Amino acid sequence: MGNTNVQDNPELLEMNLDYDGGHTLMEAVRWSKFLSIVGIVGMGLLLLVVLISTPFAMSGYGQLTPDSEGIVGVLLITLALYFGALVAAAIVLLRFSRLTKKGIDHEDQLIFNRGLKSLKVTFIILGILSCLSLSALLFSLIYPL
Amino acid sequence: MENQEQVEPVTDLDNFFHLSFDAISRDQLKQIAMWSKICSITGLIGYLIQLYEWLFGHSRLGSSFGGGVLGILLNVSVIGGGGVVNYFLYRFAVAVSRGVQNTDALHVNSGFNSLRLYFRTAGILAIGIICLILLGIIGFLITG
Repeated sequence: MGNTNVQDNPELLEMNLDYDGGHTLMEAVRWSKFLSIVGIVGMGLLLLVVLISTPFAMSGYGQLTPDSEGIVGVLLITLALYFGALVAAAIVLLRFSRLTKKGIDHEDQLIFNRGLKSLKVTFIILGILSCLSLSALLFSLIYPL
Repeated sequence: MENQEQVEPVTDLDNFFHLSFDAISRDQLKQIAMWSKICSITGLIGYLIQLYEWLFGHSRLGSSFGGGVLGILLNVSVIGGGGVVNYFLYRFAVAVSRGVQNTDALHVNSGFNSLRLYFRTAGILAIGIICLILLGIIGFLITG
């Protein structure tokens, strides 16, 4: 009773965003917006601190040994790139929250898909960063300074 | 006719937002699931290493928050909180991956619940960190 054949209605094979899924996604979008703003501000400030402290760190620690200037320079560039990538991830996450909310509100499939694409880019950046962080952690365990 | 697949009819609530997971969004979801799984597994391994270092190691990594009750509290919050966040991300990745593979919207929709918990827990942790930083600044200003 009430069941329908897939052959009669091919649209039944479609996957739809249902009522519960849509509302939980909307709440996820709200929290992701908050996280992205905190991330942009927090990581932006840390990036600024790294950039401002570069000349002081170079003059303070760069003269300890003949090659310490190079090591400090590489370390600061790595930190700046790391925080820069995190800021980029936070900006793309903000784009995800904006586009997904707009897509759901306007029932626009194209904008919704663009929102999902932004979430994908966010996780790609975070995935690469977490792989690099884990590699650095394992390297520091195997070859302690 | 008896072997024909029977499915439940689509109700208004099943398509409440008039948005579907078409071929493009399914491909996006597949890649989101793959990368979020990578994020969660590497994150969990990282936190397990930190936990091991804190409990049994030379405390080179674990002592980053100092000793004492405050240090223990911070270590437990960071490692525990990070572990929980990555666990929710892993659950999201598994549910979405299963949903896309089996063309089952129920799994994808339940995966969004894990994504909500992931962002909410991360957001609460971020609020906690902001509060700690503000307390530290206030303490620094008071003590001079």
